Amino acid sequence: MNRDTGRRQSIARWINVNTIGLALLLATIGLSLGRVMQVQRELFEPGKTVLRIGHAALELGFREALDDVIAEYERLHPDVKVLQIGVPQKIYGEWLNTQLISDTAPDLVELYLASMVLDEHYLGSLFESLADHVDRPNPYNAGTLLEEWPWRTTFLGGMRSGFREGLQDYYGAPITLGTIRVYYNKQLLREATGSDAPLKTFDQFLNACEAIQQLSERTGGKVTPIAGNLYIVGTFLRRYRVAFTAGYESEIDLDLDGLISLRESYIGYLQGSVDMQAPNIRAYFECMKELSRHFGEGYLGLWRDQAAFLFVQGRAAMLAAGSWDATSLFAQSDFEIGVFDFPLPVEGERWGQYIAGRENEARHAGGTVIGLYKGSKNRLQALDFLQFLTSRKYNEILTRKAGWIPVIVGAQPSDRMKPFLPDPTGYPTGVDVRNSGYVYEVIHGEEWPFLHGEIDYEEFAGRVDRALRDPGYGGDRQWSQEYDQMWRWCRNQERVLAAQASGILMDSEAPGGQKRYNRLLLQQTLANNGESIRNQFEQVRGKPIPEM
Amino acid sequence: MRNISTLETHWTLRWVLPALFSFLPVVSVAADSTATEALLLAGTTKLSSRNFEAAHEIFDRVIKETATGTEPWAHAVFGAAVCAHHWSPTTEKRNREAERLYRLLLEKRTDSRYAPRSALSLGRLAELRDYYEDPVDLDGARHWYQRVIDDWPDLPISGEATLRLAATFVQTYDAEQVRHGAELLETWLETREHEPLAAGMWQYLGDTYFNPLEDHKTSLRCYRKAEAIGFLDSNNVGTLFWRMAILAERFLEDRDLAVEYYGKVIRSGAASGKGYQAQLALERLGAPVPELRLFQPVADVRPVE
Repeated sequence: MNRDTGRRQSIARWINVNTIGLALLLATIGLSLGRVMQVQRELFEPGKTVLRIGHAALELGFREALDDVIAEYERLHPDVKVLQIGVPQKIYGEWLNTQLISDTAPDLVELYLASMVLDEHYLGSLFESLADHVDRPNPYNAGTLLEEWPWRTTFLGGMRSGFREGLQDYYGAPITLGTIRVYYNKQLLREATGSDAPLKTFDQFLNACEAIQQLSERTGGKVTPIAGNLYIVGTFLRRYRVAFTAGYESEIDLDLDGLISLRESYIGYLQGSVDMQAPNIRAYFECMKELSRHFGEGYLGLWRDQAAFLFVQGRAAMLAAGSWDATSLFAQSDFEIGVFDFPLPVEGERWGQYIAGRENEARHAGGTVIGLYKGSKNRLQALDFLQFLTSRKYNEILTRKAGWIPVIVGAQPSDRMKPFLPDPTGYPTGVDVRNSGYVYEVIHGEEWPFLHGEIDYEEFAGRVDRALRDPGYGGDRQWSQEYDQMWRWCRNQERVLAAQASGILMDSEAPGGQKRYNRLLLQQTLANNGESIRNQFEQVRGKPIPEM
Repeated sequence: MRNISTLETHWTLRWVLPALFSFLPVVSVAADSTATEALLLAGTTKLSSRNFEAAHEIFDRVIKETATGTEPWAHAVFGAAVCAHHWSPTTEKRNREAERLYRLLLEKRTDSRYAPRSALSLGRLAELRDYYEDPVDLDGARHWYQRVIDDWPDLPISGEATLRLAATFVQTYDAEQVRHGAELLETWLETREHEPLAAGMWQYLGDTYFNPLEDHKTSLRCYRKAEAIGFLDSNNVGTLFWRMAILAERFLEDRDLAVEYYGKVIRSGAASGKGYQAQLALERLGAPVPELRLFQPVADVRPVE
């Protein structure tokens, strides 16, 4: 046995399952330690204030744009490091709830989807009120025309999406505006119709759908005219419902607030002015049946991502989607994209006589609302960063890079985003009788068989009518539920009022607390403990409101 | 080196130490008082953030550790009462505890700053339905609101009590009682120019005359009074201006007033979604039509107030 053989035998003795396993284990521990140390360095960088911002905006372009703006902020504040945490929309609600419960939420978070940010009572105790700051200028607007404007007035349409009615306070600041439009493949439309101009009327829209269908049949390309999907079909229905039924407002808006509420719709239904045989209602459903023929097979099984995929692959000619999807769609498509608003029937066209006008976007109040977590150890710094994001200059940089619509007065959108600017022209509401529970389920459930031609209109109308008039679960119960919710709301508001009043008495309330208290008090008093709802039921139905 | 006897006889020890010891009880009381203050502050902070359960525990401790009738005691009794009243879910037992504590405070410290709010809270306990099958006692509520008005007429809370008292009549939706409630408020407002809740009271009157009294002229008059003072809640003025415009046009046939309020919908309340329809109305009335400038991304637009 020579020396080489001896060495080989010695090495071979060490190469066995156990040593490999041990080596792998040590390597894994080493890698894990390295990763933990790296994360530690990122999260607790010594000598730096580390801010974290959590959001669900994973659309293409936004994270990169936010990184760029963060870099600008870090350049101005070398002692601050900002980390963004993008979480997929599907799990965002659960993720945020978990972070809030375990007191590990980021300093700034998008107030979205999680029950603990949607419920005002949790929100008020978990997030900082911005009341002390909204009436002071945003320091990052210095040197602009907004220099002396109170922060809240620098938002287009006000800072309303950050305002919580039930708390009468500001709890967040939006960083963009969002609208929904129809994107279309110019090349396909040109091939099918000979023109790629935006479609303006409903006849043009339907004719284009037919032409695309024929093109698809001719070429065997399997192109769907509109990429229907469950995420957007509700928007289609609402946009046309408002257009067809807003004209009933003068007849059924009993409280003269300019909006048609569910209760007013139901009263109108019972009195026959907006029942299923009303001409506009019938016309609306017929129109929707016609339109839904072009949504593609099995569209109710698709979600927004799959529909967008069909569109960018050229397998659907049109897609209704949000302004926030613009960058993703433009970047991933190898064809030219055009954008238009939902086309309505005009005079001289079928259904033209039933149209009041488009649903307006005046009540759009800004999206991606960012709140300041009360548990943040760097609240002032986090607020400073939020003001930075919503300053004229940096909101413009952020939204232009992300391909979004700016929310600050004077911040200019990119040319591509101009067709998405919210349009206040039109009507705010239409007739809608479905609230929740049984009536909602029946109407929602019967709508699809009708739209797909499985049942005719009379059958559909009969089922809706039976559901609404059901003595146990119909419209009366919806009404009773509304009454129940209102008196409970008044009771819950008493908690907010009591905490506020005690704070004022005990000198722990922030300045402005008395004004806020007075607004809350009025809001609650105007609701009359829900008794106006009960009284109206008794007037209209001639019997006591059912017990819940 | 000094020995122990030298130390014992040193003047500082002979005079200063006994003096220090004689202050010890005071120091101890001061420490107690600081601890009580710290507890009250902690309780108040918890209460302000509506953590009623935690706040209740703290106030309860202070009640046990402080002498009855003192200021910290009154603070703690009121705090504990509020917590018992609003701790969710509300139960009959906790409501009874809240009632007992509010009454205790009123009995022992009528002069306390917490007394008027305690009386008002007893009214709220009676008026609101707090849990399943909790009876609504409007008469009981009226008694307590009236007591606040009678016993503390010069405090701002008397205005709040008046609004609450009027609302107990309005919410019956019985025409006679509603009118009585409206009268109560109008009478109050006649003599109190600087009532902090005046704008809110006028708005509430505007609502009441609109529904259920259907007195559209008086309703509009009340809304205009509220507007003249300045609406308490400026966020929803668009909706109010729209209602005022419709009242003027449809029920009073007052074109000029309708034009005024449609114009206000466009200029100050377009976020209500009614701007476009206000433009149509002005066109119909043959009046100049202001531009709808909501969402215009140009720097010369003044912000929505």
